[in-house]
Amino acid sequence: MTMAPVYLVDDDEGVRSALSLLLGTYGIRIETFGDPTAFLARAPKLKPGVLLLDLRMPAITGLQLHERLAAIGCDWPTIICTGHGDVHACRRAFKAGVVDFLTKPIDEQVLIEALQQASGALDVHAEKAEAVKLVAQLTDREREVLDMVGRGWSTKEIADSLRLSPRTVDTHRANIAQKLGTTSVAEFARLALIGQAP
Amino acid sequence: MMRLPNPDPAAPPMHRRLTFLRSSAALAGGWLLLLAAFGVYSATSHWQAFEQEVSESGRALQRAISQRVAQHDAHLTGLSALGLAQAQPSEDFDLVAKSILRFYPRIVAIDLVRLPSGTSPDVVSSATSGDGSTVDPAQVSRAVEMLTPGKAAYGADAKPGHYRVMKRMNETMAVSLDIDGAKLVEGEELPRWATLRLSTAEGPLLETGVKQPASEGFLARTVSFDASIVSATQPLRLSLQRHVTLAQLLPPLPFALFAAISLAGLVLVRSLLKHRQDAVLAREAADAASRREALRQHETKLAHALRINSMGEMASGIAHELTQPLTALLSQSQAGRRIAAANGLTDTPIDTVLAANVQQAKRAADILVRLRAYVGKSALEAGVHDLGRHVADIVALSRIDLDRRGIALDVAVPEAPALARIDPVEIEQVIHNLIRNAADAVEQAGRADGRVRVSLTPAGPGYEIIVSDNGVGIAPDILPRLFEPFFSSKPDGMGLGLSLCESIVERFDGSISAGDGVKGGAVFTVRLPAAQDRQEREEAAE
Repeated sequence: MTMAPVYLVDDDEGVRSALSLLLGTYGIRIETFGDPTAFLARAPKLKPGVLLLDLRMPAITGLQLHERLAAIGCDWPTIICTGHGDVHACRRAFKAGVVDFLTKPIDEQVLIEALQQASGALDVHAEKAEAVKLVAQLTDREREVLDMVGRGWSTKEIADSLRLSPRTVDTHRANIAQKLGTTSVAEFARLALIGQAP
Repeated sequence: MMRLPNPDPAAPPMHRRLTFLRSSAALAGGWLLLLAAFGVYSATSHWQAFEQEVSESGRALQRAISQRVAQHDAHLTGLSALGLAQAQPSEDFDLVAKSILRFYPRIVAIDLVRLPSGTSPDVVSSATSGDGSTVDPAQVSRAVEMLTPGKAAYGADAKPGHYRVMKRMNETMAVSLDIDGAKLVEGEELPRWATLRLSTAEGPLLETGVKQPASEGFLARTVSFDASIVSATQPLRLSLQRHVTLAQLLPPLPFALFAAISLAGLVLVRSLLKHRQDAVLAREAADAASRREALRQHETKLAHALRINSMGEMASGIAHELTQPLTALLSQSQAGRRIAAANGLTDTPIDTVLAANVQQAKRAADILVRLRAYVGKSALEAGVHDLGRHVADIVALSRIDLDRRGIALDVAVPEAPALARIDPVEIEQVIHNLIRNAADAVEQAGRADGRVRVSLTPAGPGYEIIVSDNGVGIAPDILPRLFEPFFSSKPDGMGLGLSLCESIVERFDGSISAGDGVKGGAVFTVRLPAAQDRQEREEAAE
């Protein structure tokens, strides 16, 4: 399984270099930032990835950074690290949609597992975004047809239901297959399911 | 740390006005006023009593004398009828005349006078009681000369205090009574104190009773009664007088008694008032002491909480600071082992060393976990409380210190309760810290018009407590690190105050921020969520 890139934001230079060295041995791409504000400016131009944020930083906390990133569309899976092990911060972190919460110093195994889970979450996230993008290319009629194909209806059943000729329905199916880049009925069903606009 | 104010409870002015009674001069003055009032009252009432007595006695005498002079007229009529019935002087007339003299001692002589018919008048018959004077027939003749028969007239008598009443019987005869004026008043009728004067139109007739003193005496007065005796023949004027001395108007014994009792009373009242005043002062002193004691206890409680919290904050700060290098150490060592393994160096001495590093880093981390657990043990005593009350309380406590440092402290708190789930001691500590920081900043700026403002306002779903000052403000390079533990801009600062404030506020789901004021100085804003459900509000009401 390929890991999504990891973006580490921590004001401590020692922590940054150690974690990048460690993750580098796992072949995980990691970019580090010492200044949350600078990262906030860079984020929109980055490829979606997993956010590894320190809770306590000067001027802005990891939670606040997470909220601001979400506000500008970078609502990527986030792991908050803290030296405080604070119950209150933890509770608020999960409320705010953070996927994991790790106490420093972070053990290698725990970190890798958390990153893998977050990466998976990002994959689902990316998959859904891709499906939504593909389905959005279809016309309203094509979307209707896709929906019915996804439910396992035959061309004839679709034609009767929509009062169209089976020929026209086949034309629609051909167009859909071209736009979605697949002829698999199972793939049609998956895209119909997750490709609904949010 | 704060110090208590000097024990100098200023007594309220209310009790100042009672202190005049402590002056002996005022006491004596009050006493003299009382005596004067008593003197005036006593003199007035006695004077009225004397006036009444004199006038009552006078009227009684006037009645008695009027009756008596009327009797004289009756005797004259009787005697003249008897005289006329007998052409010649007879023993009958003498008999009646003697009998009258015996029964009426004031009539001292009765004379029957033949009026002249060319020759000189002569006395036909005369009776006298020894006191009587010898009648002068010529005088009687002159007195009755102008009268028509049957009429009577008044006449003077040679003897002092005597007078005569004469009646013309016919052309040739007249009768004359010699009256001793002093006997017009019978012995016991004249009061012992009285001076009686009888006078006629011609002048004084007599004076009897007590002698009037030559000089009046100090403040002595005379009470008088004057009246006329209504009689055609004896037009007398009666005058009754009483000499009244100061001692009678103001009897010394009651006066002395009054003086003694009133003085004793005043002294008693003064001592009662003084006692009460002392009690009031003592109570006020006790109240002030208990207020100071309450403040001191509040301060102690706060100081205790500060010590505990500072210790916790320090431990937590140390843990945080150590965590960072520990994180680096652990991760570096774990990375090192992976690099060693990738290079076929597993189980070589370098791998063993790195494994030991990992183990020791984890051991240090465990110590930090235990330290945090210990620090976090201080139970959260959160309940629903009125923020306004606690803001006002802590401002009152801080005011003592700021007053001493000459810094004004303003507070604005809404009247409606601002309910939040907090531990009051902890939140008071936050505001106390912020006020102290503000006061330090004002002092650092060296301004004479140093001012710290504390306000509580509803804001969004919660409340904002704003502490602002007109001090030096916050340097831009310091601002981002302001709430970091062990970071301080003060030379002797531990750097725990604001870090502690943040920890406390976050414990109650609040936040704290700092910035520059619009007109300079610094502004610290503490935001706390409002207590939400009804149950929490009811909890606060209990």
